[in-house]
Amino acid sequence: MSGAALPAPGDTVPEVELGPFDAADLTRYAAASGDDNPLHLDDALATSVGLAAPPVHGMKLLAAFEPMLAAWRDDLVLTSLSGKFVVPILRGETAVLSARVLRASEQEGVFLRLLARGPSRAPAIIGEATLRQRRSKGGG
Amino acid sequence: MAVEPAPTTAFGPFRVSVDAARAADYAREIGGAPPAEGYAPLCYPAVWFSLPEIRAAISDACLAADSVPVHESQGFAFVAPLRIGENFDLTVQMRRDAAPPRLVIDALVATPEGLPRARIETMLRLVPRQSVQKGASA
Repeated sequence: MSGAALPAPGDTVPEVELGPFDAADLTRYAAASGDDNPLHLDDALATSVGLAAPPVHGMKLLAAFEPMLAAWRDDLVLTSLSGKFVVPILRGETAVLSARVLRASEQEGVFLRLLARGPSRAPAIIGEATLRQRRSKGGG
Repeated sequence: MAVEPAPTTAFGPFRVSVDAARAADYAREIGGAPPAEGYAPLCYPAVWFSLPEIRAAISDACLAADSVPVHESQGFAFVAPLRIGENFDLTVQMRRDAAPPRLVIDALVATPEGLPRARIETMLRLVPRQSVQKGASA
């Protein structure tokens, strides 16, 4: 083991608030990711599936957990990340990301429950992440 | 009534690499710093789903169902991080489920020598255009 002790079950990661997301944010993410699903960019299409506005890309939100976790513990490296997209965050809304340690061991790493919430406080993403202790420089 | 197993379509392998400029753009758009230590953001492989063959397969499935793809879940599991500039082989398997209607996409990222580096699981719900669906995010 190197450096700081592992976090303990129950430890929380400082929350991060993102947004509000505007059309330019969604257009830039679409360009960077290649996910140009028009549902995120087209008001009429969003309306056709019952949404009041285009939804923020779920991947933009899920991926944002990586910098959040890196800012929390830079001695740990993210090795897995997953999420279920439950309720959409819509254009014009903000999201709050939070994470809590469920278990941690040197053998299995640090396992966290992730949550993204929108203005209604209902879960937008329910996810999981695993962090492992960073190896010597250049390792993973 | 017997249930037919859903057919699976395989694609690839596609030779892909992590482009430095695109990785920096991606990192910026997810709120992160430029890629550190020469590694791609963990979710960067999502950009490879815009490869023409994969995009066309998703588009065809949506057209056939007169549906809009709505991102239901996503997972990434890494054996080792992906270094910028390195080449990888991306292999994709796509399955269409009927009830509920969805596309299940499993992708494997491996080194050209065949060593697995990451597994990616994607579920897209196929939402009929005229239906009202408030229970999923895209």
